[in-house]
Amino acid sequence: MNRPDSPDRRRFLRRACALGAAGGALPMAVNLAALGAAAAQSAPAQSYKALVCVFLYGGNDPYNTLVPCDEAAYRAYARARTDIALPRQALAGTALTPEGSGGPGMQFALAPALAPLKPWFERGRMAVLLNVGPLVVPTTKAEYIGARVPLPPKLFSHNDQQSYWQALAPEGAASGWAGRLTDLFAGANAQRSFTGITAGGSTVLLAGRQVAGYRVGVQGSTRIELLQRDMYGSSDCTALLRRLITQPREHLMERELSRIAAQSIDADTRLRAALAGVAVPGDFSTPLAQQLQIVARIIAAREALGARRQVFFVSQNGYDNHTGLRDTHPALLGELGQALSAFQQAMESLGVAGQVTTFTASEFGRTLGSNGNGSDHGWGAHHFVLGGAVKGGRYYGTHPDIAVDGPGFVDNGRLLPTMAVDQFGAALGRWFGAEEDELGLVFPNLRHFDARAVALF
Amino acid sequence: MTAAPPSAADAQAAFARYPKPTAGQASRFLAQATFGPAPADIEAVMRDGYAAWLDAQLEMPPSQTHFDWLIAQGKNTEEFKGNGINAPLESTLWRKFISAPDQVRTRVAFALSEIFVVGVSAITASWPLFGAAGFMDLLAEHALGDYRELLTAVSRNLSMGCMLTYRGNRKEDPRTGRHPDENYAREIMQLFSIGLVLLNDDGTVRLVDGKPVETYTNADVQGLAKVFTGWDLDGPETDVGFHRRPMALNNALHSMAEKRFLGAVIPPGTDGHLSLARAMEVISGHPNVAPFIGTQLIQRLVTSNPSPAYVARVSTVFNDDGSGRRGNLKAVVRAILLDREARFPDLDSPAWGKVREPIVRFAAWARAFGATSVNGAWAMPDTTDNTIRLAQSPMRSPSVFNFFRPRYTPPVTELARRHLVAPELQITDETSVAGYLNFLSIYVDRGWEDLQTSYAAEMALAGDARALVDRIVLLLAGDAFSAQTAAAIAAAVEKIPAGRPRDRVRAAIMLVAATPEYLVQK
Repeated sequence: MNRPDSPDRRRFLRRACALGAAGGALPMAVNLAALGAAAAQSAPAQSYKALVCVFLYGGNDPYNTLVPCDEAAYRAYARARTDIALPRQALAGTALTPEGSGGPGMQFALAPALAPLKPWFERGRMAVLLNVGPLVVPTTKAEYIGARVPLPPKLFSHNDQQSYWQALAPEGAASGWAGRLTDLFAGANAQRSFTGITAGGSTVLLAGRQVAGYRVGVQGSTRIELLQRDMYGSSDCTALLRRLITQPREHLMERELSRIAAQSIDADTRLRAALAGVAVPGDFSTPLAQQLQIVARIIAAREALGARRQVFFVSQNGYDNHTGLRDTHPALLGELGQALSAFQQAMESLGVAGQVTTFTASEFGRTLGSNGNGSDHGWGAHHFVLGGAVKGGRYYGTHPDIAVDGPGFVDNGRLLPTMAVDQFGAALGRWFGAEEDELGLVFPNLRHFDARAVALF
Repeated sequence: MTAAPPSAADAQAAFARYPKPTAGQASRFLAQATFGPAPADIEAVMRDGYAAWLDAQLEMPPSQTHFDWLIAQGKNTEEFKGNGINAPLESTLWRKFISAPDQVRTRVAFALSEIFVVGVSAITASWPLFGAAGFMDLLAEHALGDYRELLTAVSRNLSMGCMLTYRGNRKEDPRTGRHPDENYAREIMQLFSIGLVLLNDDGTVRLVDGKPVETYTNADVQGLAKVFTGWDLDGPETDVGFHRRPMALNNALHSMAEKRFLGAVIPPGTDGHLSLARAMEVISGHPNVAPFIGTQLIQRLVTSNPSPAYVARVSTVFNDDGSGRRGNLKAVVRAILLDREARFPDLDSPAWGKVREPIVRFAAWARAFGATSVNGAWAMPDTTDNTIRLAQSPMRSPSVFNFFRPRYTPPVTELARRHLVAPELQITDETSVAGYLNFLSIYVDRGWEDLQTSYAAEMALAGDARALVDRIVLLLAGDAFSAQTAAAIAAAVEKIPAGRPRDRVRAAIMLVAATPEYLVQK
């Protein structure tokens, strides 16, 4: 893949030069660091861009997130959802009025719990993507039923569809699309380790060819306390501890443990220094908001870290609402809406609203029909994109008529996606700075779709 | 293709011919079979040999259950009725990990709890800690029993019914379009029995026309979902007893429609008990079960990447224990732990072994150095926090997918390039490596609450740093630790004045337990 003369390698060199570096010995880490430092001085501040993925683990229910609310659509929605339908009278305050003409042919309201997001939609800072999901090729219901086209593997399986959204391949994928994307900008950052950062747990999304994601806690990095003082008064013991836990090993698992420990120590030193005294105002009290707060703090410290291109991952658990949908889901969305709003406000305050794009993702949507008091694993779903660069206040994509037996739904009420994850990701990647041929490398099935159909920016 | 695996009888004969183990070999065996070697167990294994020691363990009945202990401690009161006050659960789980005499059963039950996953916070019934405790008891009861009975007991268990939301699941209603909850139907196949793709007996993916074959479709899930309707808790929630009873069937809520899944057809009008029995028969009879469950048990106990031949030998025993019985877990555990690949691996192989689970590391420290509760309270912590604890805590997985997945491969590594997996590395990151060392430095230094040790045996050796380190290495890492590293640790420990023997002991333990050499169990 990474031949010395490959197009992405050439582009990598070109980019590196554009960022103000001599390209002679780029593969050397030490020179990359120097390059980053030089770039930090010479590149204009607005060249910074970041993507923030908010992953909703469990499979978010799309219909109680974005609710059809005009009379005809609501009637179909309520008939299909029975006991799990949100009451229509609760939707008046969060009905959305999109800009421009066209649109999905029905009116939607945000779930009442997502009320904090409505102002961002109205200000044109938030877009809504309709019915996006994993697809290999554009797929009709007849093609799905007849298995006449290739389908994404292991549909409806949590872990595999999580992986598909993050990597465009089922569990076991070697790299994620954001990792492949940031590989294109490897020279842009002084610290390669701060390119992909997760505050939301292990994720393949950030894994590229050279590095996987760097893990932070909600307070930032975690220090190894034993290394901060002499172990029982013995500097020899402390020095040996540092050596033992970081020295390269032959055994492949030991090697990985050593690499992570070394990275932990090194990154802690740098990140701790960069974040010292950096505070971001706002209400970041919930678990999701705390993750977004450390992301905001790292973004605020971007110049000290020499960062030009970053992707962040945060996550929220609990969306697998097979039961108790009416009780559990609004609380989750309440946390989500508040946290996204606080984060967007923080980006505005930091003056980077146009340079940071935040998006939601989730392994799948859920069934339209009820299983008694919840919904089951589905396929397509709706998602939000926030940021100053987004052409917000409108919908992207299409939504079918709400009819379980209609052409828009398969397997008894599962939304058949009409926008591929590849298309969604490509729109984000294009904004991030990737070129068209590069997007094809990052998103393997993009070539089967209209790559520019989702003109989010 | 691999050669035909030996029959169970051949394997029996081979096990009996194994030479008596050295202390280091015995220790390494106990790290696989138990929550960690204790000095007395090392001596017993050396004296009796692997097979005899193991057979004695396998014949032991379950020791006092978590449920009974919690009642004896008076935890079945109003105070513990709600969720969020589950601390006594940690007490009893760690109590058995560290001190139960039936160590093999306890360890296998823990391994099963990472396949049949229940998280205490998901238990939507009163006294959730009793639900989680009872579930672990259920796994212990069946850990050395019959796979189909285990699967049935799990499927009838209220805590699992809560975890995967089929407690109270109702039959379909054509009038409203309501369908049965599909959650358990999907996960019992994906996670508890057969997995997603057809496997060969040696665990490799079976290819048809060069492609993997998925084991079930969404239609199978929908068909099987009807089996898991009509089940809910048995009796009132006036005392904790309902957690011990299997869920009861309300046939009025059970789907009487035809149920089609995995090629089986349960005819219309079949009641809940018969449908469940038939479903358990069909699922547990699927040829994938042996390699799918066998591989995961090997991974939990012995090594992340067993050879196909090792998996095939275990599958053979799963499919027939030698007396024509299928799914005899006692025989499977025996086959896993006594297999020649487990007992006589190439310790220099760069891929052999597994990353020790953080939970097992902590328990192994206690067992190695005789730490025990000084007052019987076992005030153990929730160890989920990843900055100062273990990033893993028993019965507290956030989802049914456990803390890590059996096929996890850390991306951008030599492991990935060689198509090797390392499940435990899914919870190993820049934060958790620091968190483990931070927790280690606390409990090695001063125990945890009432969990205490005098380090008496180690203190006696502290004047001789080399002997001290050798003992610690033997107890923690067995015969898989380099002399070079041990010597380096001894040299550093020697710098601590001999007049502070306890500090020498603590420093030596921390240094050994921090090394990647120890962290990868061979």
